[in-house]
Amino acid sequence: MVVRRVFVIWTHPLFHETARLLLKHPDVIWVGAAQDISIMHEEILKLQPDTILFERTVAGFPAGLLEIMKVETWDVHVIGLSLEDNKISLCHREHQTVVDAGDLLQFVLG
Amino acid sequence: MNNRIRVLIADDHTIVRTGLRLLLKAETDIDVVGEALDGQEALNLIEFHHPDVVLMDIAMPGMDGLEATRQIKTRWPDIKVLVLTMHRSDEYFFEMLKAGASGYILKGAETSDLIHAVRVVGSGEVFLYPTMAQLLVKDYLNSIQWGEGPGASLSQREKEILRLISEGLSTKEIAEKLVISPSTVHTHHSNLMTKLGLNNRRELIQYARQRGLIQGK
Repeated sequence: MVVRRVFVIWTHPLFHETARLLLKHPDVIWVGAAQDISIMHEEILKLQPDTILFERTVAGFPAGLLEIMKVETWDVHVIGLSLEDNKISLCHREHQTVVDAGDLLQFVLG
Repeated sequence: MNNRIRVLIADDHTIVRTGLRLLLKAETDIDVVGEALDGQEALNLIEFHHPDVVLMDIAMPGMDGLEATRQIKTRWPDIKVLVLTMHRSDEYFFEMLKAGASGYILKGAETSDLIHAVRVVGSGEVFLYPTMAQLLVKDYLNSIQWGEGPGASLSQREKEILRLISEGLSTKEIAEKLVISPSTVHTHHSNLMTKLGLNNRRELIQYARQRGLIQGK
């Protein structure tokens, strides 16, 4: 199976810890995490993760993430997940779908 | 002797449930004995597992955490309920405490605080997340200030308006400050006088001074 490099953007510590525990898998490499995406912008562009998992809050998409999605020069999948609902947003290039939250690992591994 | 804390998780959010289960399972003194999607399922599982602590969300479809907590404390008074919620509002906080919850923590808390809260509640003590404990202290001080007299029956809004009246603000200024209409302020003003048995603005100000709501000048 292909190894997926994941970067996590979080707001609540519970989300960060949950993501860390759920993504413990031999085919997943946790390349980084940030609570404030603005200071990690360059880092993410440099790391070029396969997947960016972000915590969706009432504020919606983090502004910095939208910028990354606009300028993306690599094939990145963006997954949004919230502690407040059972939906998962899957974004890839210009496509965005919202599905019921299930096994996060499966969404990451594709 | 088995000192492990047996926890049941009641939360309709998949990611939260999963995260909590993994988080708590990693602790050597905590066992997760079940997971419920709503209050009713929590009651069904409690009957079977009889946990020490129920980690309870408030907003859930069907039976919510408030009703579930009331029923748990009626049927199994020894089971402790630790509320885990996104809600910071005092309304939920006080309702859950009245229902019998032993602890209240926010989903925004550090995970180490969450685990600590489970241990504290599991040992029979009370755990209140610091920001929520502040609400309790504020409410206590408020109750001392207002006493058991007629002032105790005033709503929060009425108390707020009385405070602003006593600070010398006009009806228009109060309306602007609270973003309500002047006629609403007027209605609260009338209700205040009726509830407190006072006749005019001067008496309202005097009442507020006696209660220490404003500094006498």
